[in-house]
Amino acid sequence: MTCNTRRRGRGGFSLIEAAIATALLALGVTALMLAVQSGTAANGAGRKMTQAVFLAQEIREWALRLPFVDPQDPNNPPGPDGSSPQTFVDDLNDLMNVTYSPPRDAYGSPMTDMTGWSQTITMTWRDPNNLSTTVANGASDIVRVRVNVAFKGQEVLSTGFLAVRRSTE
Amino acid sequence: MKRPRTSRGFAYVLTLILLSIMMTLAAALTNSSALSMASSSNLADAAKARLEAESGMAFMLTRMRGMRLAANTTEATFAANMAAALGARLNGTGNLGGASVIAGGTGVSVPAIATPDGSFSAALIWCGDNRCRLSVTGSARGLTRSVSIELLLTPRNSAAFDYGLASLGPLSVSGNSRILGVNSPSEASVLSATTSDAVAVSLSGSAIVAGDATVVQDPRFLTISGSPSLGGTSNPLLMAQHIHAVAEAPDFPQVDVSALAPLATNRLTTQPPTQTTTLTNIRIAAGLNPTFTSDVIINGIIYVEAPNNVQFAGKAVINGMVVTEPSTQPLSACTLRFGGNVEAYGVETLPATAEFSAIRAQTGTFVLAPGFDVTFAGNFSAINGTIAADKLTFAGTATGTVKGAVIGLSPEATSVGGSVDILVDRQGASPHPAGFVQTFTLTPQGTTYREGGQ
Repeated sequence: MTCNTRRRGRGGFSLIEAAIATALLALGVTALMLAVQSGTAANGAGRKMTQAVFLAQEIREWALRLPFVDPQDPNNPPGPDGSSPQTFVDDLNDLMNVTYSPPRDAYGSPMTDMTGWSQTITMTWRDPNNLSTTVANGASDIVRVRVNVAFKGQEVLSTGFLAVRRSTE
Repeated sequence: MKRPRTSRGFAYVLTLILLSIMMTLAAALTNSSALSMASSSNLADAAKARLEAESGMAFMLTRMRGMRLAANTTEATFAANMAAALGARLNGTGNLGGASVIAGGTGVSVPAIATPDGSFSAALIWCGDNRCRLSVTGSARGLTRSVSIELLLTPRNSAAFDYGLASLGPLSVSGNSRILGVNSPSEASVLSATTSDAVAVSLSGSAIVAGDATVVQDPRFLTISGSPSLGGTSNPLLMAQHIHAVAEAPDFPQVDVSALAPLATNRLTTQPPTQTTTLTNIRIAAGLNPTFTSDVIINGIIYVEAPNNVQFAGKAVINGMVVTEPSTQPLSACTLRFGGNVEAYGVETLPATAEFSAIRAQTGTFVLAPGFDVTFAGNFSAINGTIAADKLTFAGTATGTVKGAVIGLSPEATSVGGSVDILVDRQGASPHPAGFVQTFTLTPQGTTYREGGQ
């Protein structure tokens, strides 16, 4: 009997041994898969954030190029002119409350290869003596421009900057 | 015989080795992902901080627009002068929240100004060769980014010299008077800087202002009656294009007669002679109240001590300039009246002799009368430099070619009426009119802009 028992024990892994090993391996594979999945998501989010920063900066660059007020009619009230801001922009406040999708580059041209992305621009005129205080639209020479960048409707980045009337305007 | 012990439990060992490799890979991946996320987040925050810095730069340059530094600004006085000038614009505002612009060393620092996404602070440091560097540091979520630019200190006349006629007080142009430009209509532009009077600029009768009219804050401060002409038109609709409202009043010049007073070496303590006479570099004693009734030629400088009521009522020729002692006494006690047949010419017409060598260098100014009420009437005619006084009245048939500007130095009214002709000749104007303090403007030097400046 003793001899038979010895012969069975010598024949490879036991069932329990194999089962435990398989379970441990499954655990490891699962953890690895989760890590890969999480890494992919994180890289995607990082890439989105990088894109969003780029798109916000494009609006900033575009804003720098635009006159503070309408060059044709300085008394034109703030906001898009008669024509659609999607097709015609000739001063900064034409961008007020406008959403661009596809997003626009620093020259105001659509970036058609960036589907799903959008740039929403809002503006508040600020009291020069207290930038925390808003004044009526067009009532000061300082505007806080806010840019919200979204991907498929979900906001990725919200940032802002000051735009001022230039000395030559 | 014993069974080899090495095969027993080998699966566990192998599994544990594989498991630890997988766990190490998972940990590395997780760490890499976290690093990637942190990097992206950092990129966004850095971009926000840079936008704050750029916003701060735009804000500072806007607030410093038109700012003047005192004429004595050097490396030693830069910090104090800049703190005074910048403090006048920023201290006490909600932006600084009770803090102040601080002078220290060779520059000033502006405390943090909050924005919806962060804040920015600024510093202006003297960097030699009449330059200073404006550095603005933006901050967002703990990250900072800086941008900077050099500003050149340029000596410049007051902005009031940019107009043909500029008055701190209300301005009235009436009757058949005309303000014309010799070389261009724009030379004959007018400005009133008052915001405390109901009417800043009044155009009436058949008056003509060839240039544009500028008021402060609200174009409604300009009134029109009769059929005057502005900017070359009498059509009210077209005239509106020549009326401008600026947010802030341009700066007016400071006067310093200390270099001119010593040039008047011959003190006049008795009434002037009634017969034809020639006077040179005279200083009229306070309280003399002289009237020049006869043919008189005055060469060089006429320095009038205060108080005094000086009148030119006969035929007089003035070759040079008229300067008064700065006065705070009532204007009724300090008057200059140019009537009769007075002719006036600039210092450049003086002979090149020793007695006029100093005065000939003081170009560009005809009348400099701080604290005085000055009237031009009768058949006064002049071809001379800038005219500046606390109160100015042009009446009768006075005619003058002004190589510079006409400037009302106080909130008193400036009035041009009768058949007066004021011809403004900017091309012949001296770049540095005598007796006016030149201050420094700050001009950004675009090529010196850099990111990450100190």
